[in-house]
Amino acid sequence: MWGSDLVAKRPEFFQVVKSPFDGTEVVCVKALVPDYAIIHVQEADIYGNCRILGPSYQDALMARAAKKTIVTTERIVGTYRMKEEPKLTAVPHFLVEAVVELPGGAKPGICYPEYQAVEWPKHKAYQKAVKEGQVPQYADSMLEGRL
Amino acid sequence: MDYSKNEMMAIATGREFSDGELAIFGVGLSMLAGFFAQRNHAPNMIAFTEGGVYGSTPVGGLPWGIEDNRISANATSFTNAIDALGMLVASGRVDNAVIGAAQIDKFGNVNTTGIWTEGTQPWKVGKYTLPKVRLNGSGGANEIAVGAKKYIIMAAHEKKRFAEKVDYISSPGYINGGDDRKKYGFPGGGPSAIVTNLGILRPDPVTKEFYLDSYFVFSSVEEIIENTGWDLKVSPNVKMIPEPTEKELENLRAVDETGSLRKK
Repeated sequence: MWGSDLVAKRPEFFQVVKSPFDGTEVVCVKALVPDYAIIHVQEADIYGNCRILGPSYQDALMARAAKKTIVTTERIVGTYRMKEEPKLTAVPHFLVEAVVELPGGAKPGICYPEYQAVEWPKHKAYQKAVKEGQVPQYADSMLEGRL
Repeated sequence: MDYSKNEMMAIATGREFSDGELAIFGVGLSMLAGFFAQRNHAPNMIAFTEGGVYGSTPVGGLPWGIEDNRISANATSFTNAIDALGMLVASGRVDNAVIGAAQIDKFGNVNTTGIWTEGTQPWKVGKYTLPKVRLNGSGGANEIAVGAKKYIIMAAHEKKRFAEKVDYISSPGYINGGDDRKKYGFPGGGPSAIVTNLGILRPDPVTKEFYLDSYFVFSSVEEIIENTGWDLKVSPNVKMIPEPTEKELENLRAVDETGSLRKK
């Protein structure tokens, strides 16, 4: 990232310092500690243990950085699923504040392998809603008939 | 009642845990003490190991590692040491922990690195040289000592182990006493007790020097002072620690299936 404007223009997050070992310059990045992380997973149990069955991106890291994590999940499963294959438990339950069972919760985006393509018309409607400050109304339309 | 000194030590350590705590245990007897507490009086304790094994309880006796089959058999999550120590412990989330010690000093600093010939300790000569005896290292104890809100140190009470000053600080306690930990910006609060096979030492709230708080039915204030390498202060309220109850022993032995704590 060095050489980009991230380092040059955001000194509140990035600083170049001299390594105390050999004097070479290295980039230091400030730790981010968000109040909340909200992540969507394929499977969670009632305690908050989460199985991420598709790509995990930064979800596991976000859960560790945040003070509290809220999980939405395609489905609630029994804890025996975690015990069967503990390697797939990407977030242990004690990091999780709340679990919400919400099938389709990542739509209009993707939650592999549950739904594997972006629903573009709905995604465009979402973008439009963001631009126009209409996100609550958009959310209402997405949730209609599901709550 | 028939029980060993090590069993008493493990039970006394376990009594330092409360229900609902997020806890991490070092390898060895620490784990038996911790999981005894979970079985006996802290069913909602959440325990993990520095290897990143979460949500498990030992099966088949004392785990010989931090991620072997006895501790992994019923885990709900496996991550890794960087996650367990670098993220979860380092962020200051852990409520309570147990670590072991080969050598320990009056400010609760722990040495698990090496023993040097008198006069050649790194802090005396100002540089690191090879020790006379190489110990098995800090493992995750350094991170736990720095990051846990509080933790208990378990050690065998012998004069040569309880030194005025440790040869080498592997895991810092209160460094040179007082509020020395603040200088280093540690997220954790420091050791709350040293539990040994003879009794319990606790830190003075101001100086942070460990004093004798209590002894067991089979030990005495004199015996503990004799086996401590510094001029041990004794609490004016020094008391005897209650013996294990039948329920405590039963729960400890259920965790310690192979009887590691009963061996001399």
